[in-house]
Amino acid sequence: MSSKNFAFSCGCSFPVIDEASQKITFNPDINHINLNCKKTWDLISDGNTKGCFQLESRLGRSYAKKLKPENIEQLSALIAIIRPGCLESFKDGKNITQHYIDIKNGKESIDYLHPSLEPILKTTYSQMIYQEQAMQIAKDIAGFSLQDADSLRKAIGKKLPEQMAKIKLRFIDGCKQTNIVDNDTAEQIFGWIEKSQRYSFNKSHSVSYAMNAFLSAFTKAHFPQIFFASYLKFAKDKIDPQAEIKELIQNANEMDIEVKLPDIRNLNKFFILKENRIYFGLTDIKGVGESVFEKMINTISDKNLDLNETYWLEILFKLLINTNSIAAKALIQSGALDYLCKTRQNMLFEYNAASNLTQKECDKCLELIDTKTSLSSILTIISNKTKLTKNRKTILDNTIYSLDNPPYSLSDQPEWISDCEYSLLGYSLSCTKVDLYDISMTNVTCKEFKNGYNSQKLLLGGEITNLNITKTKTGKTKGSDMAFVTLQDNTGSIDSVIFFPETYKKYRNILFPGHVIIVQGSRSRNGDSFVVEKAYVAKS
Amino acid sequence: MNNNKICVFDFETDGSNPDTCSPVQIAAVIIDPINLNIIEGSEFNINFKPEVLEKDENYEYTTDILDFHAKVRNSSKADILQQWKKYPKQEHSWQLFVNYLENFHTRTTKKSQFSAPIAAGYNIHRFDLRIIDRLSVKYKNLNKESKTDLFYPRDTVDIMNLIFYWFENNNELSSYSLDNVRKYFGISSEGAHDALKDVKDCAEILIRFMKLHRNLSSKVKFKNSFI
Repeated sequence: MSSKNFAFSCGCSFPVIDEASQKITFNPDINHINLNCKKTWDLISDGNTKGCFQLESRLGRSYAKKLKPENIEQLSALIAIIRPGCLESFKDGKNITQHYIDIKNGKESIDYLHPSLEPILKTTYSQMIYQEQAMQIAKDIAGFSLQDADSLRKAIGKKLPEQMAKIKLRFIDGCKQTNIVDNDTAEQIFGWIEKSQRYSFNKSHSVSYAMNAFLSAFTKAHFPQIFFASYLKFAKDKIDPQAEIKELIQNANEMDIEVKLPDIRNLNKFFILKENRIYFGLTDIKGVGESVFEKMINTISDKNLDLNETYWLEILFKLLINTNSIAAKALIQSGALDYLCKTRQNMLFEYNAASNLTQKECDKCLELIDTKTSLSSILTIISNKTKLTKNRKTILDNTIYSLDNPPYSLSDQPEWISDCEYSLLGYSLSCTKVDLYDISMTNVTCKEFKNGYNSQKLLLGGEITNLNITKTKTGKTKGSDMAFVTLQDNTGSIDSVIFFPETYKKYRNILFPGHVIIVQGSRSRNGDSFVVEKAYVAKS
Repeated sequence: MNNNKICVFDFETDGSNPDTCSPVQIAAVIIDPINLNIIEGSEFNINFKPEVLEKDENYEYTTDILDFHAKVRNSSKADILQQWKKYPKQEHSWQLFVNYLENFHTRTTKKSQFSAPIAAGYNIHRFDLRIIDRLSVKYKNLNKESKTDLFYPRDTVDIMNLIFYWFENNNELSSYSLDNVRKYFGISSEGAHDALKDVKDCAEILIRFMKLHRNLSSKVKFKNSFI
């Protein structure tokens, strides 16, 4: 065991267990990691929290970016204020979440209902967001015991009017006795506690969640490859695995992590990390189930196949022909056999031809397989030198004819590859539709925009992957249609490309998922969105 | 908005009755419905051995169909017949056409006839689609309603109908035959009646009309136009 440590730029260091490979050991224990790690807090503050516990939703990512938490206390508050209660509770026309963020960012002043509340509410910038704070107020201001304070919490939580009336009397009485606040303020504080119980969250839960959120963000910041490989592996358990895979890959790409097509040579069931690259697992291909995978492994072992040394026809007749056709085609179309340096269309064409052969003919093919021969030449030998029925000979001759004169091009078109990968893997890794279009006049990519690039006139090109039409709630155009568009290019995607009513009306004819468009516009005031002024259909 | 690709196809046959003739050639190209162009590498072209020759190699045609094919290919009747005899069996070529169409669904997984290409061509309602229906029954490429599942079930585009809509009060176009339309539009007739040449010409004509429609439709107010 080496005594050396591997140190990151943020100062976090981990013991090296193998100097040659620079393998380090990481103990994912919250008590052993640096809670002040700048790298981790930067990641959270950038809203790069896809995959981070409690913060992975679009809402979590967006509020993490707005709040920019700097410690566990603030992270805990963030987790509490992005719950529906806070988001839906308004005070002075603004929800509690926004109040907290504005105060934290210095846009709103701290205002305590009474100075006696300061010690209790100081950590949450004068906002009552935890149930424990209500209990503490009852204890300190009205002299409640902790047990009584808990009864107060339960009564409010369960909305028991009779019990509430009794507790309110006791609270007001208690305040008189302690004489910290006057009667009116006591009434006001109780009213506030009552209201706050609709949104306040249990602090013990919130802090635990924050610890877990920090731990996952810490892992993502320091070991992103391992983080993404693990999250991709478990994407299957999500409600919409393909959407999860897509989001994770996009996020990985934004962090310059390479996610590669499945490769049959790896024989990995699930996503794996190999040489700093993440590879799709074979069962991550739609149509390749676990039973097919097990069968393939058995076949490879039984036939003693070395996939690194094996060539296409051997794989075709020893492996694919014995696999169910949906899985075999999915392996070809997803790119798992690309290393064989044959186009996917060509492999698919030859697979279809081979699947029409009888078992006896397949066995014969196996006997004749030679690195120098093509399927057509093998079938010609069988047709000429084997005793066949007239019907079988005709079928073989027809197959040879079409192998020699394919009725359509067997080259791989980018659009077809993109469609195949998108359908089978949930994401198109080799190319995107955008590759087929001329977007050379653009001056910003999705990734650059996300990273803050700005200019007076932004030109962005991408494929519409999502379109959300909604009605405006305020302003002169209240009730008019507007659109939120997700645009995707080779560098990532932006999910807040906004067409306000007038622009939407003008360009709605070109706003359809699958279209590749170029938008001209500017960055929104809050900096997160792209506000469209003009839009064009990209030319191929 | 249509996202299904458009397959322009055409049969060359050994007869003029779509309910009894056999295809000897089918060609197709695919139009990208978004950009309105022929998708690169989407050309398909295959020959079929006529059914009558599959059953009897010595079958003798009694119609003038061989004369027609010999004339348009500048060949002899005997040569045409010899070529037909060498073509792959109908079942084989049909299967390759089915495989080809599968490449152009809007989805790679969960393919259904709703993701299939839209059938288009010249005079396909009265001729080519009837052959498609017949062969789909023969080779069991059918949906639950026992109709072909190779193409999108709702929409089909017969370019001949399209010509009618635009020229029904125009005396300049004397007939709606593809040859005449080609000549009228100034498209070269070299290689005409080769299925691949015909589909490419048809596809270009259809693309022009679709662009025209898109251009006009954005300028026409349809909503509440009857009020």
